[in-house]
Amino acid sequence: MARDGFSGHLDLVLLASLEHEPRHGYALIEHMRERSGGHLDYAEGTIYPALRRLEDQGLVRSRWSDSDGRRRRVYSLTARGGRALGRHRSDWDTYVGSVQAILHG
Amino acid sequence: MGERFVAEVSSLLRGSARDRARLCEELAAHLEDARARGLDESQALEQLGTPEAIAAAWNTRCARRRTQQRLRAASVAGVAAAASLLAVVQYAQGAPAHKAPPPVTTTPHPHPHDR
Repeated sequence: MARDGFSGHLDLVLLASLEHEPRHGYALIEHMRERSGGHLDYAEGTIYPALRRLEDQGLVRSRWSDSDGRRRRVYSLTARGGRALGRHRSDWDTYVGSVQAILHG
Repeated sequence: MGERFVAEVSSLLRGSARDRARLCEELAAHLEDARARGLDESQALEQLGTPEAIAAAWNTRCARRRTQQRLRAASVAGVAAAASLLAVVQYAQGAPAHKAPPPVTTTPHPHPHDR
């Protein structure tokens, strides 16, 4: 999938990738790449502004964490982010179902 | 190369110095993680994207944040103005009509020498 093809859904993918555990930026990229079978291929540096935007909206929170002798910013989903994820998931399922019905109907 | 890349991103960023510094630190940590996973520096930089793309995403976020802060400030000012106006209206409606002052009565006090 082209690098720009999924940028509009980056927020949804980031929230979903934080649903089960906190992660730092590189771990998020690895998770998204692995779960998508390599099809989601974002310009990795652009996830940081996206994460800050989600933080501005109160959907994620972050803190510095020191591990392996390195300092990284670790992000986690807030309760508000969990509710937003639920809504986005539902909207996405409706959208995909609609497009599928048209494409394959 | 990595330091030069992060410095180039930093030169394109808007926003507070603290915010910019945090982004740069995260990008530097990201490059370190990529190298630790076995990527060479040029591969890691290629996957990071261009400084312009990263800065554009960041500056869009900053602009949106500024707009939201201004809207919040305008909303607070509007509520304060409405509350002040309401207080003035309530005072005007509830202020008593002019009344004559009550008569002053005095009770004569015994003079100390009048015992």
